[in-house]
Amino acid sequence: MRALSCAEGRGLRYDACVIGAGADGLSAAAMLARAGLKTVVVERGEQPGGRCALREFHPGFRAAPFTDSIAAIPPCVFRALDLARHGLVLPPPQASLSMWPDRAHWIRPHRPSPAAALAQEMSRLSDAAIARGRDDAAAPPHRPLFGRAPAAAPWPGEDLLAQPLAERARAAGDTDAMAHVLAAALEGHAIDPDLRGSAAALLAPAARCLIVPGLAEALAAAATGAGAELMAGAEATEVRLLKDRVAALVLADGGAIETRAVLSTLDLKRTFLTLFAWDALPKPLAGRVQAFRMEGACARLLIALDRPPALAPEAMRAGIRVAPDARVFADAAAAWRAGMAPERPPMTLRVVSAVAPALAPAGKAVLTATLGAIPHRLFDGAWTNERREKLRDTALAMIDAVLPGTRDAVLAAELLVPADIEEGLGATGGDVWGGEIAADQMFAMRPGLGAAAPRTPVGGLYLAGGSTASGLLGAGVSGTLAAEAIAADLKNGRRG
Amino acid sequence: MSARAFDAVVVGAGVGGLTAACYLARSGRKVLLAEARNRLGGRCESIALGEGFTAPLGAHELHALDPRVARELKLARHGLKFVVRGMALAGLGHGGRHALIVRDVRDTVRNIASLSRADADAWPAFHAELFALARALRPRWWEARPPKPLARRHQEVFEALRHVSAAAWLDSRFESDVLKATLAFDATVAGYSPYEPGSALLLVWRAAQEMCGLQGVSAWPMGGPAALAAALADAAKAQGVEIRTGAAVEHVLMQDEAAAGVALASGESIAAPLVFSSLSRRATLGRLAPAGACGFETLAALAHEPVTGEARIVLALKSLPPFNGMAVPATARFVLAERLESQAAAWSAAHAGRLPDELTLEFVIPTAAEASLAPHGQHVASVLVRPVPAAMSAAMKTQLTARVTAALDAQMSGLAGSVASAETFTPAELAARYGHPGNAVDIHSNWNQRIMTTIPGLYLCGAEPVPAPSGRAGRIAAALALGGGK
Amino acid sequence: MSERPFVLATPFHVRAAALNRDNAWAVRNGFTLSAAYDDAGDEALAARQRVVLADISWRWRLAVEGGRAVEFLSRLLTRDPAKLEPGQALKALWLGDKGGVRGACALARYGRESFRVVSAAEDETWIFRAAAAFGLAPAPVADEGGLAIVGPYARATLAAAGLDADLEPLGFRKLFWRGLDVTLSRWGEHGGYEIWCQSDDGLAVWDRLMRAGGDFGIQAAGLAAMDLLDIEGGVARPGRDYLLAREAFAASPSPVALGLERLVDDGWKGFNGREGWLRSRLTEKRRLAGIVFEGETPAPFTPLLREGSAIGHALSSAYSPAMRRAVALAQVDISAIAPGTVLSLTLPPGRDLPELRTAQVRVADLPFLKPPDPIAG
Repeated sequence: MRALSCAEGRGLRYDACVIGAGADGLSAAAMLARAGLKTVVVERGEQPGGRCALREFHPGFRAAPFTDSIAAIPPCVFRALDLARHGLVLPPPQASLSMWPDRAHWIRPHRPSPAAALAQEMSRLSDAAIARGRDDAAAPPHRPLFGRAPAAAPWPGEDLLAQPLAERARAAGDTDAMAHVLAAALEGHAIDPDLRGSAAALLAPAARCLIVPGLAEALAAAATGAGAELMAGAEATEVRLLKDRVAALVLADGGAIETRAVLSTLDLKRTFLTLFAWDALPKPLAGRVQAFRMEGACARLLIALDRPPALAPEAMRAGIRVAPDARVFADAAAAWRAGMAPERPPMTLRVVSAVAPALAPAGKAVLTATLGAIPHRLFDGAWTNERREKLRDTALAMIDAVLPGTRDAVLAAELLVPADIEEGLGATGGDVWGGEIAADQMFAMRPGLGAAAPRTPVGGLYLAGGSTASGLLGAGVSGTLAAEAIAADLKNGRRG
Repeated sequence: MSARAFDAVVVGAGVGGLTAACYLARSGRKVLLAEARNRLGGRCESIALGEGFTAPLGAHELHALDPRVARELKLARHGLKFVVRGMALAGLGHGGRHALIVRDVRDTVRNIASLSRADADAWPAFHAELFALARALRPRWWEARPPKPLARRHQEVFEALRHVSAAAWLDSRFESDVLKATLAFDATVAGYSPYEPGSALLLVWRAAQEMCGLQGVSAWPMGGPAALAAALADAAKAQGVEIRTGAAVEHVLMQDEAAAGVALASGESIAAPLVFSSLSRRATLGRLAPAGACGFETLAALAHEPVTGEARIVLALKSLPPFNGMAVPATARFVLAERLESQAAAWSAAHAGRLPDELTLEFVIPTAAEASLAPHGQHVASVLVRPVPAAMSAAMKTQLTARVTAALDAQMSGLAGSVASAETFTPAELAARYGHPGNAVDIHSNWNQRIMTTIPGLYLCGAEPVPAPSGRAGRIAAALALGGGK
Repeated sequence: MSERPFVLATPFHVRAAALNRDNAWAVRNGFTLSAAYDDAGDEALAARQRVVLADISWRWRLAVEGGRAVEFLSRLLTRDPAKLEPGQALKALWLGDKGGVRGACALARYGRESFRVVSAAEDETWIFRAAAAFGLAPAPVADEGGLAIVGPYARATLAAAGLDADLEPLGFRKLFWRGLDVTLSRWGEHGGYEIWCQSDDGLAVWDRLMRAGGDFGIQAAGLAAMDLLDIEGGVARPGRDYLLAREAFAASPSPVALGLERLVDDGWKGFNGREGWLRSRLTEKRRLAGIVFEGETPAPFTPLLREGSAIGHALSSAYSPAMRRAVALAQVDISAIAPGTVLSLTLPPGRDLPELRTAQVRVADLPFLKPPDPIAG
């Protein structure tokens, strides 16, 4: 793996420059390099991976800090990138387990049940939507971001945008099953399940892929193996335009990379509001970008345990929803909107070391907790140390209630609130998924009307990642679509 | 059991039924209008509140009366006169800082400037865009035939707004909480949350209405909305409509899979090839039509019982204290809604069966426009609280009255002491009085889809896109039925 | 942490397990059933030459009872249920609002206000909601098992077991059979009988029938053999050959496309989806047809071509030992369904010939073989 230092990067000319070495950035780079284009990936962090990168949060204990899973990598992308050859073995789809003090409820992917059937239906819709995204991106004439939107056929799953999530969840069975389905769909979100349009959360993303060791490495190997170059520790700060077209990418240390195309996998707001001067963007574009809503609702707790929790092997490998209660989600969403931290945040636990033993030393375990409805900014100020401690203790108490004795085994527990995720991942508002899941920000409306293609109104600038429709639904898809668009545009000399 | 032949039977003498009956009779048909209760008018009703006080129940202002209905049925000649033609919209805020929106854009800008300079600057553009879009979309809400395609710029905005929530839209234009919340109140009809997709279009719909020649306003007729019902009843009688009160319709009679008349609760059958129901689609297809006749999937797709609703409170006031803070005209439509976020919490609470912590409500003071509604120097106020849970206990009802009085007192100091009497009506009580509102908001279908049913000969003449006394559905239903609607 | 299992054993499972030589099981409608006890082809031949016993407990049964049951079923089904006498059954379909086939059933009248719907695929939620509009609450029949007795010696077997098998086709009768409450019926598509019993009595019923049929060479037949009988009999099955309409307001599949138009009564009005049915009768271009192969290799779910262009596709396909050739059910455009029409398809590669080959096939009338007459023996 050849990584360039900033010094080498300065003054070199590339065909395409990709910002962000996450799943979409690396898959785009692999496809671009395969198409014969000179490609470099610019990554702010020291290691590639984005959300897929693991962090050693305590000596010997690793976990994916920002989220346990990314959108599933569709088979077409997996094959196109030849990830198997790079040694990647993805874990099978995870079962989901809801635990209350006196009972439990399972949703297993392959055992027939209404809840599992719902999950399969959502997966099918998601696949169809990804295919639709591909078709739209390939259809001539290309349609730029926020451009004119011709009357289009409805997207697969578009009728979910008028339904309340609670109604779909209710079809899953009794109150326990309903609460379970809600907990699974709303993991890390703050959405009122009674509101029409909240059913969109079932698609966001419908199928997830657990982040395991080797995922980031395989993606990076796919890119560099194809001939792309990877520049770590380099933060992109500005896209320089020449005659309304992309000319160069400026880095934090002042160096500039001359390039004909820039693909940003940063979220929509970060792309347009940090890489460009305010007045360099056309007015309507700036307004639309401002109106795109992104605000994180998720906090993460990374726990190093001295011994694994006392659970049956199957439960250890499942996603554990802590005592979900259907009413709590609506109240939590309203509280989140008002900037109040919830008393009992919705929580999902994963003993990630049970799925990937390499994450923890032998005999020990890593437990991650994903808390939903955590405001980015509290109504009465910032997240002080005191408030973080309080949330941490609340979470640990909740965990101890369903897994008695866990607290005593805690060696270390690191809390990340949305602001920390914002800083660590570079995601506006701490929103891991790249934009609010709402009816007016899904499918053809993500990030804006007519945004089916990865092209933007700025010549030579392309967008991939969670802020795009395909990016939300599948990892690597928006990257490959962007790569195809860039390759086509550069080869044909078309103005992107 | 005798069968009397009519050309059309209209079920329900609300504004929708009366209008349909008038238009049918006007085209020469023999019409029977059957009303279950003993009075005509449906939701356009005024009640007596002690000696000499008359307050509107049901609707307490008109904003959607179709001007063509008023003109073609010559309602002015039948007694419909408007006292206030363009009611201001006053959002009452904390500490006397109100959002006063009037017809004149410059005046509104001046009013808003005291809340936020940026919002004042943004108002003209927002108002222009809203009203232009409303006018462009008006044909699809006013006409039965398919409208011309929209201009591209309007088509784009319309497509975007189909999915946008009122809260997101207003949030992106304005910063002042009370202004946003006041405007968003109109997007909470029929159980909508201002955070739900498509609620922005409810604001556009309201701006597409026309009262007394003015776009997007509310108006107060002399005698209140009940006067509209009286004028329509008068017009119907003049056209020769046979009106029967106390004649509840049990079910629709069918022959050869088409509507053939109605059977009254008294046992009498009325034969008629056209049946118009002003009840909701759910009540009509689920209760009046034979079971399953409309199709099982259609039946299953009908709206559920609403979980939230509106409560109404009418107050007799010995005197009217002045408003705290900024001066506002007493003839305005007042809205009490502090912040968008509290509307989200209120919706959530009402949905869960609790009274919201922060009530959102609208009220009018009819006596400011028409002093004769109360004894000299005294007043009536009519309050609409929305959302509240559909199922309210007696304790909640008492609590609601107390809290509403307190909320009004906070805006007009001394009001609590001047209340002579008050009557509160929960959603269940209003439903028992008028029938369930039932019709969900439906601004996306066209009129064919709203009015026609899967049963030939059965039409819904109350199928307004947004529930409000209008008459438009009745007029179009009559036209569709007589024109041999598809 | 206990939970209800989603796949159940039938009342006859213990006996089936003892006879299932290769441990070949399949799941249908949430039940575990033998796919084949020994060889499906042999079992299917036995059904034509002698008599077989097949577990049909997986069929969905619904009890509809109440004063408005006739009214409800009249609106639900494509044939008039009012004319049925207790002890009689009819076959009908139920359609969605726009005419898509949601299910096919045998409707049996048990009493003036008591009916049973017996169907291959369930449609619980939809039917329950429809029935609620009539104030009815249908209940799925639980704790009951069913066996099919098919073959020329079916009646002889029943007689030897002590059951009065004098039933008209589509008739049924409740019997008290030496201490057991059973129902005997003739609702099946393969010319045989069905016997329904309480779950607890299952093993006793099985044993009695197997003993009685011993003289006639009775054999247990698994799902694969019964499916083969379906194909030979020209019976398309939901789930296997087509998907039933499940989305609201679906117009497809239409009865005509599935060869089920005989289950819709032309003169019957007022059933759900009638408008769609009338329309599909005029506009549906696909028909269910039979395809006969020259050789023995079946080709399920393959496109059918005529002069190079697609004209239909094969549905389930199997080698029929009775006909010594492979056959298939197919959905074919109306222009090509005349018996004898020659079409071509691509045969999948097999162990013997690892490449793709094109083969010519002939359209044939359905059924390929008539069901065995149960009284012949």
